Amino acid sequence: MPEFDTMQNFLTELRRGSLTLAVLGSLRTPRYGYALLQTLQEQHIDIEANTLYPLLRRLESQELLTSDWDTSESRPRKYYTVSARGKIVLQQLLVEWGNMQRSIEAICGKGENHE
Amino acid sequence: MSNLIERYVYDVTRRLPEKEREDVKKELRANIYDMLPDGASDEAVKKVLYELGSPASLAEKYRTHPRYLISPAYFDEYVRVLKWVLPLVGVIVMVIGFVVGAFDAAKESTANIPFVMSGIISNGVSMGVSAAFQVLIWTTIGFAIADHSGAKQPKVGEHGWKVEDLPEAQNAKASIPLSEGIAELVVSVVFSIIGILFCAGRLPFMMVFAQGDMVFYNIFSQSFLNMLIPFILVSMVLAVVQGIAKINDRRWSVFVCVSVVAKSLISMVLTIYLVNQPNILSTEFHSFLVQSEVADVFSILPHVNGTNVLVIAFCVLIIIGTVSESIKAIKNTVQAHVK
Repeated sequence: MPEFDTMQNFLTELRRGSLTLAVLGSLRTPRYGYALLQTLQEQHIDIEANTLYPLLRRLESQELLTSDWDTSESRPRKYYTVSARGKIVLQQLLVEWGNMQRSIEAICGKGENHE
Repeated sequence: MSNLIERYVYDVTRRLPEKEREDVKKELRANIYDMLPDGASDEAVKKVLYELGSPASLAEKYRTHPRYLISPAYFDEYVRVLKWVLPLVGVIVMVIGFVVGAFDAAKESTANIPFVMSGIISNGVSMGVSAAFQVLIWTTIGFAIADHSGAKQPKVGEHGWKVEDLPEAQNAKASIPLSEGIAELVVSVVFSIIGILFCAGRLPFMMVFAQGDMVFYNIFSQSFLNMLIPFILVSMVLAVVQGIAKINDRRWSVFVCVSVVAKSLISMVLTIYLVNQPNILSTEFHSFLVQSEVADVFSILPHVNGTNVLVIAFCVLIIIGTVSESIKAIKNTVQAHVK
């Protein structure tokens, strides 16, 4: 059993790429930062605020997300939605995700790690 | 409560590029307020801010490109060079500083021991520390340049690089460690600067004990020292070119070989020219030598064509050293290019 920190590093690396998928997927409906954070955490996606907010900004600058400031309420909120380009990228990533899962399962054996 | 949030947001955004600042500020502020219930207590605010992490780490995450002066690829080597060059130069210069301090202090009042001691120590420490800073600055600049020039190499060919351009791997002797070039660069610059200070009359140099009294002499005549300064500058430039060649190529390339051979040959010619100058020694030191009969021993030595045999021996040694260094450089280069 590797020590805790090493394990944590592996998990972080493993999750890093899939966070983009989770964010793009959740933003098919418009959400603001904190609401998205709660949605993801409800789905047991382990992500922290200080990772999500910069990630949203990055995805927006890559034009995978569009944003809109909603100033109708007492406090302004920035709502993010996946863009047309983001949808294409998400679709491609999901295909790749499926391929990768099948490959890993083929190599490691399905569910063997539960034994 | 809003004060804490404002301070936090400010501390994050001040570390970001200016054009992103306003946007991030607005976003981050909105996000933080969303994480808090209306009229939240200071404690609740603190909890949320701690959750977001230190302003520096959050700013780092907002930054798309990590910024390095020296990238991790070179950092180990950078530390390795500093570890030995820094103490080496620092200690040597500190010792020089002690000696100089002893002169300066003793010249003014030979009797006052505490005064002399404090002069010695303060001079040594300050010179050592400033030399160490010089080393630190030049080493850092050297590595930063090497790092950035390496990162921005122009792309060639279809793939951005060519298999044909790979260096030969057959002998480890062909490669020059990055540390060697940088160390040479730093040491030569630091010592040249000290040499120039010395020539400019900032550092007297010679202590003689005569009949219990300390007498101070400058060994060299000022006219000789003035002449020396451009020579030191020339050698420094040559050493810098050689160091840069080594840092840039990092193997025994033709450029490195030429720079090493040119540097040693030119230095040889300069040195031989200098030792054959008349009036190297200051008149006071010369008359002291005559008084103490050391000069007699010197003049007894045979002369060839009016040149003292000691000077000739010194020149021969320098020529031998230069030739062997040049041959070594050429041999290394040939080895590196022959398969």
